[in-house]
Amino acid sequence: MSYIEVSNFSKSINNKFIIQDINFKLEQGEVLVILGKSGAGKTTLLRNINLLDLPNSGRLDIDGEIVYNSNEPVISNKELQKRHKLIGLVFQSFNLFPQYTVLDNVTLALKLNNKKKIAEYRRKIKNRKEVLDFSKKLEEEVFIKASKILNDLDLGDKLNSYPYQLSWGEQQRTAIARALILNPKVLCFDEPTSALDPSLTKEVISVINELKNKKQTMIIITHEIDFAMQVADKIIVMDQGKIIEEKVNYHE
Amino acid sequence: MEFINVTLDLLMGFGKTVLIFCIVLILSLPLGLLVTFGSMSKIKILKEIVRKIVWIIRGTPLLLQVIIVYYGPGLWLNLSIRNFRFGAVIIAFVINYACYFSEIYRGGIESIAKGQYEAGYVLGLSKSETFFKIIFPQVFKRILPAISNEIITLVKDTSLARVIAMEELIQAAEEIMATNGILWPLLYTGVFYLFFSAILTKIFEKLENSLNYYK
Ligand SMILES: Nc1ncnc2c1ncn2[C@@H]1O[C@H](COP(=O)(O)OP(=O)(O)O)[C@@H](O)[C@H]1O
Ligand SMILES: [Mg+2]
Repeated sequence: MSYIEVSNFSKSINNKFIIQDINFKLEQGEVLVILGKSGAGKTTLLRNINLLDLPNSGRLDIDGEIVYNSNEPVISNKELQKRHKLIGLVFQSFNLFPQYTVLDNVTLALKLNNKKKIAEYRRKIKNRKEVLDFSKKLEEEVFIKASKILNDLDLGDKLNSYPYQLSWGEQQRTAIARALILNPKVLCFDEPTSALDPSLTKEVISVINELKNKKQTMIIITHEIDFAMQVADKIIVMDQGKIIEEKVNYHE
Repeated sequence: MEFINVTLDLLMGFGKTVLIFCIVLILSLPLGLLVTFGSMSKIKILKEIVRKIVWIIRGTPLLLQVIIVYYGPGLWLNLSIRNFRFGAVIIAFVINYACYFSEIYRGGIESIAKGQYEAGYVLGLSKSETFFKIIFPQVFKRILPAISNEIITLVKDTSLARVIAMEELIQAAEEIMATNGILWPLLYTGVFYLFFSAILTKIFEKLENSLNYYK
């Protein structure tokens, strides 16, 4: 079995298929690029893989786990939350939280996680000081992890900046860091290079290649063929909600 | 009657005014959020009912609502509640203001892009975490000017309590007028209201500035 398997994904809205019978496989550390013109259904496919929308039919396996199966009973909200953490998404418009600094954007999810851990710990261990030490330790771990990720993404000097103070590229890298801190099994990008000047596209390519060197599995949507050729291991081309072409991209 | 005595008498009334103001705010601000959740609920019947109630409350005078809450139990339910004046004012005001606040909240919530929720969900946040950690702080910043306006209006609306002879500021002035045959204490109450609004305006200004650190 492959690391990621998308099987028979279909989604229809108002009785009209937006994506239909999508199948592909991806190995760990590979980069899949989904090509296709505007309206082909790329974003919809990605949203369904991220479980932001749930496919009407289909199955998603990641790393030997069934992440979604339309034949299974309805997933509880709690379970859905857990599964969301397996799959990272960098939105086309990033959707950074404007009221939080770069650091807080990146650490929010882990901090909320830790809150629950601390509450649990408090129930078990009544000693106040121990609970305090425990929460300090977790806080430190989060900070160290976030700093490392942000440094690697060249954002070491932006920890305390707010999103509106960042350049386009810095915002994108913040969004990447925010997703990476959860160690997602797969990181998805929706049009990471759209409407840009070429120098910014180069920057995106170098960031993606660096993630690739770290064996981060990625799924990337684009409509730019040049970009696809530079980062992809596998390429699928979509049109009218279906895969019309699938190929392996051999890098020289 | 001397200035100082009038001032002291009016201060008593003003105390009641401030008390009404504070209790109404403390109760109606969170209740308004509950009303908002109702008016945005996915359960259609709940949504319709809540929106109708809000529509009725906003479409009728607060004065009338105070009268209905005060006399209603006695008239229609044969209930006589002792010392109900204060309670009636609080109930009517809290419901009225919760409805107004709920509409402001709803406008603010609806103005936040869907992507902000989705960014929360893909990080594995729950619906309530997403709402309270991501959405509400942004809503709060956006609606603060509208909320401040409403709160300043509440300062002046407290005077409606006198329709059921509640001893608030204006009522206190009218009693002085009636027993002493002088008019100026009534005009003097304006100074108290102005003073109160001025303080609130300053506080809101500070609050708005403190939220200016992001766009
Ligand atoms: N929520 C929706 N309701 C109705 N139509 C939709 C919805 N989402 C997407 N579509 C339609 O599905 C098609 C594919 O959209 P999308 O996935 O955004 O394509 P792409 O990302 O490839 O440009 C478009 O024709 C779009 O209008
Ligand atoms: Mg798209």
